[in-house]
Amino acid sequence: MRPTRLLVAFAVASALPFAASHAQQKVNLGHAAMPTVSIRLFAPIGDIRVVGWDRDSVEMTGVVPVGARVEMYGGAPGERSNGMKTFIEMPSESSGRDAKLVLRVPRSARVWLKSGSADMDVTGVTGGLDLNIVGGSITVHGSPKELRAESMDGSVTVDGSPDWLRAKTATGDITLHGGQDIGASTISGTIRSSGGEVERAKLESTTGSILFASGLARGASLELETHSGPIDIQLPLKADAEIDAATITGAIDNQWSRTRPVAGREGRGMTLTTSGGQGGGRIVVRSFKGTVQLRVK
Amino acid sequence: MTEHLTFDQLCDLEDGALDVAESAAVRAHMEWCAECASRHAALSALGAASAALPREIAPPDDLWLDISGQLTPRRTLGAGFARAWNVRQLAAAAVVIAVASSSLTALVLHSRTRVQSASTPASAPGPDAPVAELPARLASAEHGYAQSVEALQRTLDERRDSLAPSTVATVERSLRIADSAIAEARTALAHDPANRALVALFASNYERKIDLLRRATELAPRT
Repeated sequence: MRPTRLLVAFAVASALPFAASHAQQKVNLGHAAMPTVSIRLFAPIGDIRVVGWDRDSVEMTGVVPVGARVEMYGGAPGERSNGMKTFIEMPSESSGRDAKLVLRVPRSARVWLKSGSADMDVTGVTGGLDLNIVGGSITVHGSPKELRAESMDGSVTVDGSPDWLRAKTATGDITLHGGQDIGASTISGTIRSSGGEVERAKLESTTGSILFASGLARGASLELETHSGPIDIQLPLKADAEIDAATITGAIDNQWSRTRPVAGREGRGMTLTTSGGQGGGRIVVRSFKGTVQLRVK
Repeated sequence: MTEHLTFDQLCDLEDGALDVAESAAVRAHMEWCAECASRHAALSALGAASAALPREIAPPDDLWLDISGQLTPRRTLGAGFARAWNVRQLAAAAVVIAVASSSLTALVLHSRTRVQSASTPASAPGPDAPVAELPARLASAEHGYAQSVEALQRTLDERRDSLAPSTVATVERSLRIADSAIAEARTALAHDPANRALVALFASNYERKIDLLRRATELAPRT
């Protein structure tokens, strides 16, 4: 083991028995850190919370099964680390389901967190987040500068307005509340964006539905695309927006303006070009066979 | 090589400008990096599409009449203009205009071809209808996507046993959905290749599939 990657603590060695009947042990590790420390954690644990706090240190607490190996590398003891690597190895595949972990990090930290089937909950981090699960859920409270959240069948919920957000799932639902630069993609999950304000966004799915009911920032640019999923757009009556919608075979229902959609190429599908307010914002909608609905919010 | 390949590296690979070792390293990177493989596929598709363009296009017969018609009045613009532009320079300018016009003509001709393609009935055939072929430029682009899919699928197959059965089931279900959407868009596109919205939807379906495969190959063992 290289000196610069000094092992700070072995939880297995330092942890106290939590309760023999639960066959679990406590974890309590910590290390001084720079405010913008990068933390990498692989934790096959069922319940993980990340909390941004106003201290220049990283602390990991929780309970894990007896026999789990928990390690944190962050440089020499007492040295304020700018990069930390932590991992938890479970004694068996399923033993991490009941484990719980709380990771407290400086607010401006950059956190890379990967798990299997887990409920991840992040609060108060304003730096960067790169979160990856297979199942379960990812919930992010607050507005990190950068957020990448990926899952297979787990859901992704973000209730803040990140500067940069990329959310991807296979079947999991994605719920958003605005942001400056948003990308959300799913195969069959549902994408919902409501509340907050959007500057630039691309929301896309194959069969999943898309609901957009967020506000539009001045000069916003929004792209919504599905193969067969329905697209529901809710805008204020006076929204400053130019809308260009087209389907290959699907229907378009416009209840937002007086403009009627027209039949598409060769009489199949529909197209709609309409605008409201002062214009400025641009919304492009494309669907192969999903229905597109524009409504007044 | 953990960083993404640079644009220059991808271009050099496509141009055959890398030595054997560099080429092998770049190709090895693309074996697992879908993004770089996809960018390389796009470059390959661009090269193929460029190679398919005609080497030269004869300008329309009346082009010179148009050019000379615009050049002649300029001779009367005044002595200053006449002094500044000698015959050789005017001839050179005419060649430049002719070349530019040829390029524009090519674009127009291309557009006309596309318009003619667009007039083909767009109705999607029934399930028993034979699969129609895509035009060359789209087939080339699809070939690039297919290469990325194949490489990632191979990696996923190798890792399949290390993943949880429920995860494999989720991925396979999603891949079937993606394949179904690609097939549907492809069939429609074969009958309406000039439909730009359809081209974009077709490409998006492929990109979502490639991204899903990439993410599946990056899952940790036992998850």
